[in-house]
Amino acid sequence: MTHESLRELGIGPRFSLGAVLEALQVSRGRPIVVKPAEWLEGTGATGLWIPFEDVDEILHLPTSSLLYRTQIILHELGHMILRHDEVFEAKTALLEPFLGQLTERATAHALARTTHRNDYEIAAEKLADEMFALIRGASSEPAYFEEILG
Amino acid sequence: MEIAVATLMGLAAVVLLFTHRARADQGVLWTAISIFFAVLLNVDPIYLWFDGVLGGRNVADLISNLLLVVGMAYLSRSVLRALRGPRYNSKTLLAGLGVAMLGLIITFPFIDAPASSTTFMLDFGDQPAAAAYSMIEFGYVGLVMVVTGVACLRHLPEMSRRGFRIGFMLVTLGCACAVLLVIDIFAMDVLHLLGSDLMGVVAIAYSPLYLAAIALLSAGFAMPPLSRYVERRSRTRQLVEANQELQRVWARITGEPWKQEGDLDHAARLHRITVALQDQLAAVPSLRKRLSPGEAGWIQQAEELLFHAPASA
Repeated sequence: MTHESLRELGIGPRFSLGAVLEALQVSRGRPIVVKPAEWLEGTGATGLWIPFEDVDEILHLPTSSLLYRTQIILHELGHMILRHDEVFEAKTALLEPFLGQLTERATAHALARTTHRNDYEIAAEKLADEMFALIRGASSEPAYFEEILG
Repeated sequence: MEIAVATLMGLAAVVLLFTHRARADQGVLWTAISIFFAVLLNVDPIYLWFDGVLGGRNVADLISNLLLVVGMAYLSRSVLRALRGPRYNSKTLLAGLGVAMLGLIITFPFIDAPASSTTFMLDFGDQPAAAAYSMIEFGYVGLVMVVTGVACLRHLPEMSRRGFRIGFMLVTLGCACAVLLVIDIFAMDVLHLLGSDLMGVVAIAYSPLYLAAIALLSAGFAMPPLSRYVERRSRTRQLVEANQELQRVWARITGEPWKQEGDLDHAARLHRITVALQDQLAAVPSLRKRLSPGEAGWIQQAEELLFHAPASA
């Protein structure tokens, strides 16, 4: 069953990471920048979302696995979709490993993907799994040929 | 020939029924069922029996033709939904169906056809009402076939699966045969009305075109769902095998058996264990060196499978 928040994004049958990024950039009215961050290695975190005022920054652990990188980014986008940046408790428990790596302003807003899982992390990971399932199920045929005639 | 045609359409209907869960719209299934019954009614003994039940005035021919028109309406709706989305509806389509059905129902009583005939148009086609009756039906069929053929032809180069490319190529060829058949029928109707001897010459093309159109359309519409079904079966086997292998990898590197939470399909299960394994390898990078080439290969294979696995697998 598709999460209500995902339906609200209004992405059609061509669900992809790019489509989610695009839909969220439109709905949040600012760009999303995704980049690898080597300094995440050894922190226990694999991804981090820093919602600055004019840009959303998603940092991910450098990895050669396309699936894993996609999952990390989708997890951070899951936080974004679920608006966890507006929930204080979601942030406070997760940022211990990054103190010193981020500016004070970034620390105040960041959300991480770590092996330590609280309810917010579980929800974001579940949504990431759901989005990945939609990417897997996205049609590879033109228009709606697969859904209607396949 | 009618038995061969009914068998082909029946087989297509069975395939489409068997694979109906994979589709968001069943228009093409209703098309196959409608045309199957339309053709079945044209099998001589069935026609004579059914028409006898209805009073022996060829009402069975009208019913058969109405079924064909309804089948075509479902097909046109499905093709437009394949182009514009599963919820697409068109008042023009509905109006087209209404006009065609009304045209048949209104012209039929004007045809003087007092006794059951298995060669309805040959026997009564010299009447203007019969010509109009035939042209209304096949004009509608021709229109749907043109729309279907053009839609398939336009999208053929973008199709990724072989089953889809071959299937819709057959549909395109089937539509072309059907359009030629409609032209042939129009020519026969006019020549019959004029009492021309040329009708016999034009009629030669009828049977081969009819058989070719039905054979190509049946095979063409059955092939994409059939290819998807075979693909799903094969993918499911691969997913199950990869899942078992990754559970072994997980147990070896963590020392604990893998615990799957929740009721997930095969692809979602494999996805979860693959992500969990990657999490482990990210948390303890030295573990990566302890993976055998075979184990690393299974993780790689799982990832490739997951980027191509159907959602329901």
